[in-house]
Amino acid sequence: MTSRRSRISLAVAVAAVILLAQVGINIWQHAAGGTRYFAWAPNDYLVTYDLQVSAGGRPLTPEEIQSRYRLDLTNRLGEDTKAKLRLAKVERYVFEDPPQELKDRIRRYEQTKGKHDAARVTLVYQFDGGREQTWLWPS
Amino acid sequence: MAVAELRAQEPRPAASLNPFRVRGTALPPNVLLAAKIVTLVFLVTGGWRLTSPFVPFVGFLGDIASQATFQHTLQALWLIAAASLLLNQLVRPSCLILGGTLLLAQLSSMAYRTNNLTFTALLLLMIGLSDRNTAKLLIRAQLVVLYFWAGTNKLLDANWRSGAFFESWVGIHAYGPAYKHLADLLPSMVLSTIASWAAILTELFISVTFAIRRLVPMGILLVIAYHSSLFLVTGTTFTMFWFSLTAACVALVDWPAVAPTVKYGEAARFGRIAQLLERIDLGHAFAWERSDGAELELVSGEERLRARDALARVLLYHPTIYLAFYALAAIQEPARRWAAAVALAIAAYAAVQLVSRMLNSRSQVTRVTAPADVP
Repeated sequence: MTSRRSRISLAVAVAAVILLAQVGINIWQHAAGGTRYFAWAPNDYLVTYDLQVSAGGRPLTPEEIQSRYRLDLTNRLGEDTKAKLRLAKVERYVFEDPPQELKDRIRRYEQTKGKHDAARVTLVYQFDGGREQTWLWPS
Repeated sequence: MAVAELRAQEPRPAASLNPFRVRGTALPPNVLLAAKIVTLVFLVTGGWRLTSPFVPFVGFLGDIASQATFQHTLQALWLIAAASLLLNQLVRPSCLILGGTLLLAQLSSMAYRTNNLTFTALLLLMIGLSDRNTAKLLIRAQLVVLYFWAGTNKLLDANWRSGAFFESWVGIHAYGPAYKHLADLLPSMVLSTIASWAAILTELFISVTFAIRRLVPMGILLVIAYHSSLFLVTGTTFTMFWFSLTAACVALVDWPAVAPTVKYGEAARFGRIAQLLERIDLGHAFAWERSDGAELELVSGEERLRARDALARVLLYHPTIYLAFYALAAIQEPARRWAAAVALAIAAYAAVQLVSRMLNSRSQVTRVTAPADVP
């Protein structure tokens, strides 16, 4: 009986740790700035962007870029939409997390798996329809 | 009647292999049903394929095995746990494995992590860590954390407060034109700002409803109404979000400890429907009793309901209906907004019932206290 009770208590304690960890992660991610990894921010961000990548001097196709960074490069921005939202003409794709997470993914891939490819990346994006920005790798 | 009660209380073989059964395990029936719903949807949508490592959050997860071995191991673990859960075997450890593998898959891949999968994993983990006494408390706590931070994140974001996010988000989706038409009737950004603040306040209020026990029914209705409205308007379930959140609500519904008894006569009102519901009661969730000419009646503990109220309660406690509904809703097809419409209709009916019950109980209290107030 006692061991059963303590086992239940242990399970509840583990659950409490998971809940407290979420609170900690949320505070940390807000304090850290631009990312929301494992923080609760469902569908809270909209990045419209274009991505150009060359590896070893050769420009990669959208299919190659999609596979390289596991991004959804479905062309979702028509000319009418871009005109209505005053988005840059080059932007074609949509990313629904903070822009820093997109940059992190590219940077970390290029620092690890892709480090011998001498890749050059140009990311042109707008965040929530704001001003156009450009991010380069290597920066 | 006595026979029916005996049948209802009859001990059933624990750990039945019938996947439609939700009683006789270490978990409350509706909590087990919620876990089965999430698992079933994950199977139908192909989510069980999980992922191979890609730019992992935890570095060594990318190095412990080849990509294919890592993914296939996770898949095998997930499928074995899913089979075990659906067949009512080791239900709590199965939930821990289902949630754990899903969380591990997300830690192994930056590209795979999403809020909806994180919630699904945590819901399964909370169920796995709970028992008959703690299940609802842990699920409520998870919902409080989710909605509090989801609302707070929006509140702290200048683009949410100003409506800039909403204006852009609506603009790129297919339902943009209808929204634009409505927005054109108002000054610039007004509709987007209203919609943004409505979302912020709704999410923060939902977190309060799950923190206070007596407000939980209101929280359940708000979650179903809020997410089903989004589903209806956008046509997307936001991957697993709609499924997992509504399943969590199923886990929080007050559910009878013993299988309710249902009496009906085939020729009476609702008789045919009751007959159909008996036929599809594959998990023996009710003790059915037929008697000629009897009005549909549901007896659950002290509660005795008749006619339409009894029918509503049979539908509410019918696991086969839930499993069929979610399996159909999970099938990818363009016209699946019907599921959102059904959920909204149920929430509306439940809201009317809840309000009328509150008004009735208030009028009874007034009647009881009135004589004392008369001088």
